[in-house]
Amino acid sequence: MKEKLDNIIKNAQAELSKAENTKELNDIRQQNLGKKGAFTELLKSLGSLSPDERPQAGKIINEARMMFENMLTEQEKKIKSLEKQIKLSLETIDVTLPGEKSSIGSAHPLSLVRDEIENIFIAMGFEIAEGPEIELDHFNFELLNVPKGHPARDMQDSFYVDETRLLRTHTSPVQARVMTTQKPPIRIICPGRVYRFDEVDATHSPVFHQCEGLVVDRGINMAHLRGTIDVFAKRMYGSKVKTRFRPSFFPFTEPSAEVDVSCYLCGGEDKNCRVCKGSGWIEILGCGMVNPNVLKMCGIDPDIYSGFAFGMGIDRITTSRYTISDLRTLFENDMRFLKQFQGL
Amino acid sequence: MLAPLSWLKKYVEIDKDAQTLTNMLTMTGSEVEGYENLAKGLDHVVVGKITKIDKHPDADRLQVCRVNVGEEKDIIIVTGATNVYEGALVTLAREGADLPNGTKITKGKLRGVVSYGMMCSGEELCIDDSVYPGASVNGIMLINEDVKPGTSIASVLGMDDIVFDIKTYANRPDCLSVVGTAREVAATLNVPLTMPETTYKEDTKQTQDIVSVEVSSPDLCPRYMGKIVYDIKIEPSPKWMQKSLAAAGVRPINNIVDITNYVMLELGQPMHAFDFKYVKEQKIVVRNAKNGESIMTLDGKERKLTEEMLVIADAEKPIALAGIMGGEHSGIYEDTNTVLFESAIFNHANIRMTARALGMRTESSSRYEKGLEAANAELALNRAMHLIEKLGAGKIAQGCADVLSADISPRTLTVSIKRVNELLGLDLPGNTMDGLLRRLQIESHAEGDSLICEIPAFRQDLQNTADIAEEILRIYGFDKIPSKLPEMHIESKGRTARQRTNLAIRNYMSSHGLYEAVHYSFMSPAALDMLLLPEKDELRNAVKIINPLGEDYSLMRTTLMPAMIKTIAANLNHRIDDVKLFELSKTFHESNDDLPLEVNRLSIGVCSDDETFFTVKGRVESMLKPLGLKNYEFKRGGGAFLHPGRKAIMLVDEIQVGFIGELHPDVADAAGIKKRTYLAEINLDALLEIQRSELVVAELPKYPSVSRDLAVVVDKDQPVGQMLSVIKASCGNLLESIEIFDIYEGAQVEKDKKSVAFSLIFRASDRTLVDEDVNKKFVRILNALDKNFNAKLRE
Repeated sequence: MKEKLDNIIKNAQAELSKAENTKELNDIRQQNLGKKGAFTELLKSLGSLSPDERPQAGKIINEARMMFENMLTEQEKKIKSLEKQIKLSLETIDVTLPGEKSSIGSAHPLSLVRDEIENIFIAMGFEIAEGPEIELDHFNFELLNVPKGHPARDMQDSFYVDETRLLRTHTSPVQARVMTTQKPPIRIICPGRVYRFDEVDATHSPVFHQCEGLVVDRGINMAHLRGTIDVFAKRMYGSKVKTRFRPSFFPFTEPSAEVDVSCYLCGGEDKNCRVCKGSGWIEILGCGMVNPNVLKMCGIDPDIYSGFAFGMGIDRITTSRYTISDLRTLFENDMRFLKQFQGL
Repeated sequence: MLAPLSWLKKYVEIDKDAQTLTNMLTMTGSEVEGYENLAKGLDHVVVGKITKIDKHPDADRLQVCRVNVGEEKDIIIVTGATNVYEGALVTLAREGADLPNGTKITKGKLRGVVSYGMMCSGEELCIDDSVYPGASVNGIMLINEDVKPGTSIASVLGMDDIVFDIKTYANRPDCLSVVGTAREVAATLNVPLTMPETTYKEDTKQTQDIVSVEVSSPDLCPRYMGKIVYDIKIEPSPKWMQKSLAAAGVRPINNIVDITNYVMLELGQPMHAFDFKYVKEQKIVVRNAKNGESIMTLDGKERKLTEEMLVIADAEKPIALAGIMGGEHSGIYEDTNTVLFESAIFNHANIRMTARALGMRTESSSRYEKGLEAANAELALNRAMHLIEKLGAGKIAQGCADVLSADISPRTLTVSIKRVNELLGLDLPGNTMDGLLRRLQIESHAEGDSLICEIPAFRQDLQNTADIAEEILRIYGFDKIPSKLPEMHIESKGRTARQRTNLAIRNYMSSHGLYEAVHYSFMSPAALDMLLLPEKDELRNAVKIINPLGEDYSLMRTTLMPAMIKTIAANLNHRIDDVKLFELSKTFHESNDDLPLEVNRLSIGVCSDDETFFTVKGRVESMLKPLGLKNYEFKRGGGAFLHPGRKAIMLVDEIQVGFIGELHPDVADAAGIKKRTYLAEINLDALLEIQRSELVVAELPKYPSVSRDLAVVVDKDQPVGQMLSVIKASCGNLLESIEIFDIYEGAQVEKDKKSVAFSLIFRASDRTLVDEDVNKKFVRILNALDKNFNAKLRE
């Protein structure tokens, strides 16, 4: 008996080690454990033994069988893992092939910049005010301290619809509308489209976009203007930039200032910088304290309230950010241009 | 405003280089747009005196000159020029010179003899006779005046100067002058300002005996001053005056005209000189032009005048266009003997209007347009007389005509020191403010909280506390403003619903394969014809611009379509074969209100092999779903510019809010588009009016569903979309979903019929459906389809 079992185990061991796949393995299982398998045959032969011998013989047969099964499981594991390896290796793809094009477009760069500006100011507690693009002279000029015949009207030659209506030359009339209809405190920005009588060329456009801001409250001063602009500049251009305020003139603010930021690209180090052209500064916006005459005309008492206002050109920020050399590119909508913004 | 450095230095001491001065002025509020060094390229170019000429030992055509350049030793210059001689003063470029024509001068051997520079022609310095007499000669430019050897050629030519180009703001007409600019320089550098001299002696005749002045439109002419100068000798003005004028961009003409221009540039007050023999009846009348009158101006052009325009007339006719240009007839020429000098103030708005109406913009009108100050007219007249005397140009009559209606009494402005500090966010004491204002020629003194300022005549722009605060701040330094954030006293609501919707739509479109386009808001009338719009179509009710950039830009757009079609055509032209665009913009419609109606719209335009009517429609539908917009329907219809069989209008409560369609082949042809193009336009403001349904999340199903297919045969032209609605309506909430899985026309069905196959899924939320439930619904569906569409179950 012992001898027989040793033989069975020995044979099985030899065959198992030769087996290469699940099928061969199953055959070996069948040969040994099947209805006519070696172990089954041995167990059947137990009947021919005496009752005394049977328990002992049964025990050793079962031990041998357990041994076989362990061997089988062991080999099965090996083969399964091998088979998986083969399967996976057959499934190998060329991962360097380009990905499938996803169907995605983009917002226009002007919108991207406008959103960014809006988000910065919304985070500072501003709301977005809007107004008509065809505007009354009254709001576009008169209430902003630019009466008829005022030389400042030359600064922004206008498209007229008739004597009293024109295409707004700036987004400031929205401020005038808000001030005449709302009580302070006021904290708004007014992004939008504006129009000036300019022939189309690389640096001029009769249609462009501005974003103005207005804060009116008790005790608002020039330092608040500076603080607000400083925060905007850092969010927009990076935390390292510095601002520079220099005197300027706008009819609706007094004092008025022009604001430059230190070059976000070269920091003033590169004489050939594509962004600042070597000057180290980039002009970003005009601003000032709301002229008391404007407050008065809009029905706000300048002895109680004061305010500041600022305005920037979205197109200019856009062309400078993406180094677009010709303003016309923004309005031509060439797919080859727009596709460069894919996903943005 | 062009301000030559040499001219500024007559009134203020300047010890800074041009760039430093530029930076400093910029920070005190004078925007220097640039400066030009007139002597550029003339460094190391000097006057040399030839002391000896020898023949070149090895070259017949060359001469070896010894030249005195004002140094101990003469230098050797080899030249091939033939117009030089011993004793001649020549133009000499020494080693290191980098001439205006690009030639760089170095020491070099010419046939064995070392030459230490080069004598040059006028051409090599890029100048001709108009700059220096004799400069155009073919040969060496000789200096025909007594100049010390070694003198720089720039100073001989009057080009040793730097000219600043300074932007003047609309509120500072006083800065449109050299003295005004010098005043800003003096304040910036904190040095004194010396005013030009204005004294002179008068002769025997009396101005009032010679001329009478009448101002019949005092509101348009607050001051008119006139003074007679007689026994005039017309000649060129002196060199110093010519150089100053030329540097400031004004062409010298003769002594009298040059004096008027010099004073205008110096003090900012335009002046005019009339040849008095042409002033009929010795009478000056400042009046409005009469209709039908005209005048030949100095530029030789006939100008038709209207009643709003102000003229200077004699007893008969206009002799000058007030403040803009003189008449040709009474101009100053060789034979002028007696001159009336005019120094007047005109209404700025009127001058601006006239100048624009006539398309004229002169040095004079651009100053008047900004609003000039009446006291300055007298200063300018006196300055002109001082120059008449200095130049010996004529005899000055006594007294002057002065018709004055403006108030020129001195003005004080009192401001609160506390208020100024509050506005600036600073804490400056009154005496500091006083010191800063004095630098700007504003005398002031503090009394308690009051700062009492005497406003100089030339600063009419200073009207209130904010104005004074700005003056203080710009001299104190804008960069010293501290940086603080304002306190928050307001509850911000962020973006409005409309703004959020706009943003959501843009995000949706751009993340679903479309690129955002931005177009001008203008439209050409021809574009409306291109869209085949009927004559009375409401899209023709466009706002017209009365002064457009051109016909193509003459209307405000009522639809976003023309621009979209044009852009698609332009892209196809560039051989781009997948054009996928959308735009979010406003359209404008004439209305009876104060202002036209402005409507926010979305437009879509696609032209690509993978786009169809249904890809566009699908985007629109999917865009509306997350916005909670469900209450709309599509019906066949739309503008004539769309394919008659492939267009749909979008309706909300029976009102059209948009359309989708394929571009009509005829319109496509006209636009140069050779591929199928799909368009859509939707009124977003109207969409916002729609009741939005909030999302209510349904519980996940507990009971199994039942799937059934249904195929019916209907006439070909029956709208399947409406069949879907009818099926949904007849099933109620047991129908979980319905899809169309086949639409068939062909041999298997009758002619002019189609088979439509639906796949339906039924489910109840409270039980497992049995066949009976579904069968009941099927009967209702078939009845409804039969009734509405004459649809029969496909056998």
